[in-house]
Amino acid sequence: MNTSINEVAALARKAARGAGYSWSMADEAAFATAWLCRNGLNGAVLLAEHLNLTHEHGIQESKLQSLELPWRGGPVGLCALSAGATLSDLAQCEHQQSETLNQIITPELLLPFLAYVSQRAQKKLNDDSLCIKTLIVCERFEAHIHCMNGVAGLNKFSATSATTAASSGKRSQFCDLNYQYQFTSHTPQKVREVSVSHRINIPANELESLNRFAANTYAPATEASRQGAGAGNTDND
Amino acid sequence: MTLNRLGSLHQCRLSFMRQLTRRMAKEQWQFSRPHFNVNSQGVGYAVYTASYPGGKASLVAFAHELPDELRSDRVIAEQWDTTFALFNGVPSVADIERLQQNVPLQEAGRISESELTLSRANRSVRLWNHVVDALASGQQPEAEALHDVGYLMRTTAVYGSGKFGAADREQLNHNLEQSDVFKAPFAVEMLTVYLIRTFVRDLVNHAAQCKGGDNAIQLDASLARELGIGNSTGLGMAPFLINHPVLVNNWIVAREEAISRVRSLEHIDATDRQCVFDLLERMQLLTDRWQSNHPVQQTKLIALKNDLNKAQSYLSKASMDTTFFWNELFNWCEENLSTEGQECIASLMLEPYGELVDGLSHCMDDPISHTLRIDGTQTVQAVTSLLETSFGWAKDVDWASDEANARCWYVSEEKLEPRLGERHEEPLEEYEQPLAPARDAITALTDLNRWDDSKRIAEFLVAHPEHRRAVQRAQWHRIAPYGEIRDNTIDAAMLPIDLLRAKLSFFGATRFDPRSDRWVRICLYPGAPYPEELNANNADHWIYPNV
Repeated sequence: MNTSINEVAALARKAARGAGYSWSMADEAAFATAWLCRNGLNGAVLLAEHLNLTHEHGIQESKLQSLELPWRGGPVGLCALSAGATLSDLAQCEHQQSETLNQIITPELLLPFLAYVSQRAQKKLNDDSLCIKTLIVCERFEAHIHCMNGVAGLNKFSATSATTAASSGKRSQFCDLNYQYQFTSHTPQKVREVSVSHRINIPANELESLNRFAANTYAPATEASRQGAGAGNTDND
Repeated sequence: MTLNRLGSLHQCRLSFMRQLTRRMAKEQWQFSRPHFNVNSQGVGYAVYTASYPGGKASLVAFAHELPDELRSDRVIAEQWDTTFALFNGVPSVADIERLQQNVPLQEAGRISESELTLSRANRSVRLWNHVVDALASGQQPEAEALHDVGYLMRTTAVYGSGKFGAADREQLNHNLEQSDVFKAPFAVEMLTVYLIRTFVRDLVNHAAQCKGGDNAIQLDASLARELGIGNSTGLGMAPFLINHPVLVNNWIVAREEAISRVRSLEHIDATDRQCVFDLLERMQLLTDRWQSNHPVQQTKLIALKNDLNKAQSYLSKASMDTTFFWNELFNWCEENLSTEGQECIASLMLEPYGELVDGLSHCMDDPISHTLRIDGTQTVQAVTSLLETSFGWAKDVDWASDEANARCWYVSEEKLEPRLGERHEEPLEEYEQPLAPARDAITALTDLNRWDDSKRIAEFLVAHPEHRRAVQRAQWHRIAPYGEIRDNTIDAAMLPIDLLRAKLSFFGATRFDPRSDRWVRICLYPGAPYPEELNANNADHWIYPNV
């Protein structure tokens, strides 16, 4: 189904809640999904994969345990939404040039949060001529996020061979991820505008999966609820 | 703001309908009707195109045959008299065919990024037949009947912002960088309803022509002008105010700043006072025509009529030599009038001062909240302080009581629409929507009190990710001090119609007629000039009926 970004974000929020996240964390799922879709990755497909995994093992089993380094989740890995939200919370802190996060579940979902971190870092530098490049490498993909003029976008994304094994079910459910920042100066002429997508196609399987989770947030209709919604069936004037 | 205050707001110069009609007149938008293919049974389609500087948008309207027994006011309906989409540009024949397959289905269909809104409307059973029959027999309908109802058709939903496949608001603004025409909140929805009103007038004339043949006459222009488009709004709209605190803050701030600017005028001239005096008289007529069977609104209406009389008397006696004339009036209103009356007079006070206040309309959208995320480096103490600033009042609520927790917002499986249930009577809690920010703030404060004040809030949120929303809202308070409703949105005595009224008043709606505590009928654009009549002289004060 071809959807708007608002639509996919609303579905992501409901699906994450329906899979067992709090509404607060469901907001993070919606944020991440929408960002990925705008940047040309299918956030809906990635979220469906993530929710299927984390729901199966229990949401609490993969949440970030504490700020103590190295960050840890649970026996099934570390939830990318949980780690990402905390990365984003700490965006204003001093950052190491290079960091590794271990056993991240669906690491693509970290990209939106890393993009936000680079935006905050650039704002802190207060120098628009500096471009911050975030290079992200993990078993599943290699990605570059460029932040210029206060806006961070996905500049490069290439799936590795591990990703292509997904269809045969061989893809590991989590992997270590390294990210590092590079600061380069750029001139305005060299700024490559990151294209923004406004639509996303959700394949039938993933749509069904997200809708199934979302349905957990809907209360079964009762006669009382129907009566409560409006003034009655004969409200014509 | 409290729910009582929000539920008493009135339209003003900054309301979105009035912003739009002023803009359309100022920029001399051109309107055309390239298609009107409706048969003698009233079935077919029409296209209305608005040309604005930098682009075009077209209402694609479908008229259907709907048996009376299927005509329902409720959102759970599946068929309507008319259905609509607002198309970005001018639709091709293929576009119209595509829309014909989907728009009549409404929620069960799909529209595309070329569409900006999706909506539908039903006839007023009371008025439609009366008007068609009268016109078909060569008579104008009774003016009183038109005044009593106020509209020939009533919409039950106007969906925008990417719903059911439509273009996102962000996409619209991205594509239209050359023009800020749809930057104002709900601008596409307001344009949709404006064009629907034109179609409905044309459709009633067409129906009369088909019925009466040579005997039929057209609806008199001045009678037609008094008709608006009805709107029935239920709980679907209520969560919006809670979910968009920054946007709502910007609306309230714009209105409050406008009032403040007018109150700060040291000297006024006689024409300004006369303008308010005249419009107050027209407001009295509007209030006389405003009918409601709801006891809460009936009481408020009686008070409002009384207030307008008192204000009229005050204005006629007040000396023009008074410095800060409007400020004096405002203070007098606070001491002598009901909340409805205070808000109504505050709106009227702004009327002579377009140059002073209309520019504030550019500050009523929200371009930043989507870029704001939690600052986890704040201390527990700092966030606690922010939460207490926003929700300190809620510490006095007895959250353990059944009354304070009586309600539960949820989404029904049946229609995927927000609803409000009784928490202690139905098994709804596991489906609860996060629409009780005051309760959630107090819960967060309780947990925060167990933490060391000097810790970073990020650390707290690792342990309590469920409080991220409360923390985010607390931090938003720094940029949106009017964003939070200072009342309990799940209290036994809470009236959802107060939430609806607040939003609808910013649209520019009048004649609020609650049908229950969670369902309100209104009228949009009554008195507004039609496209072919619109000019700089009639683009603004049309909202007040002529005496």
